[in-house]
Parts: sequence; structure tokens; C-alpha cells
Amino acid sequence: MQELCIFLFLKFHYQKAQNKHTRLKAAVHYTVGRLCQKIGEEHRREFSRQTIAAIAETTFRECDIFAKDLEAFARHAKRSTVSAEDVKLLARRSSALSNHIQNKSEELAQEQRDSRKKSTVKRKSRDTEEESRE
Amino acid sequence: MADKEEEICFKKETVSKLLCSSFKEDKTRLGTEATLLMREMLKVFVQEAALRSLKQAESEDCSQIEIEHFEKVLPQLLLDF
Repeated sequence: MQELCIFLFLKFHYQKAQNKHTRLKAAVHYTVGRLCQKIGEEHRREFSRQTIAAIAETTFRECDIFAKDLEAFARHAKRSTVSAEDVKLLARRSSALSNHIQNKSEELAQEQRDSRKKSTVKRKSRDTEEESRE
Repeated sequence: MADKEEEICFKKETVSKLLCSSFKEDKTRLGTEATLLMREMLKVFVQEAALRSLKQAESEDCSQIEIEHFEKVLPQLLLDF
């Protein structure tokens, strides 16, 4: 009886893990499909369903490798949180890729600065509005 | 209102869950900026895979991109990433 309970318990958790796995794969497949469709349209060619599935599967597997590398980089730097620096290191193999990631990183930093400035300006204008009303 | 074309990309949660599920240690976390950069990296990976396969198909004068085209470009793609 106990063995049956343990068996059912393990089966339940295994299926739960499998479902999450499947959902993630499906999410990747969906976005890969859309990206391929757009590129196909731009070049007036079509990707076969098999090809899209293969690209999606490869992307999914690469993520596993990326994740393990990122974790190793963070641990090497004695951190438990993966940072932008770890991602930049991951992109080191191709200089084009490395530059692209560096540019994106700078773009994100600029967006952050801009959004902070906007909220400060909003706050200031709100304060002056309230002042003039009093 | 600017007529901005909707950019196709992975959802932040998808990228985060994908990577976090492969971490070996429970305490390892993914930073916000890292998530956004990885989202970009994955998008570039997919685009490279697609474009290289497409170029391969074009060089072979094929109208549709088949899995054989992708298979031919896969080794170099993995080396470049």
C-alpha cells in the first residue's frame, strides 16, 4: 500500500514537471514560428513546419547550455544572481554578437535613465501645480 | 501616435522560467537586466538560425526552407554562439 502511494506521488510530480516543460517548449515554439514567418515574408520564402520545429527545439536545448554557463560565471564571480556581465561573457565568441549585446545593454541603461528622469519631471510638475493651487 | 511595428520577441517570463529551470542550484537567480539581455540573445539566435537557413535555401535555389538547409548551417551556428 505504501509503495503504491509513493509510486502515485512520484508519478504526479513527474507529470507536473513534464507539463511545465511542455508549456515552456510550446511558448518557445510559438515565438520561433512568428519570427520565422516574419523573416520568410521579408524574403518571400516559406519555412517548412519541420524546420520551425527544429529551430525551436535547438533554441530550447541551447537555453539549457546558456543557463548552466551563466550559473557558472556568476558562481565564479562569487554571486548568486546572474548579472548583465555574465550575459556579456556568454556572448564573447563572436565579436558581432558581443557588440550587439553590449549595445543592447547600453540601450537598456539609457531607457532606465530616461524613465527615471520622466518620473522626476512628472513629480516636479505635480508639486508646482499643487503649490500654485494653494 | 507613432505607427510602430510590433516587435516579435520572447516574453520575459518565458525567458526567466526557461533559464531558471536549468540552474543546478536553488539559490541561483536571474537579474532583471540579465533577463532582458538574454531575451535579446535568444531572439538573435533564432534570427541567425532562420536567416542562415534561408541563405542556404537560396543558394540551392529552393523556394521553401527545408530541414536539410537548417541542418547544414547548424554546426557553424553553434560554434558562433
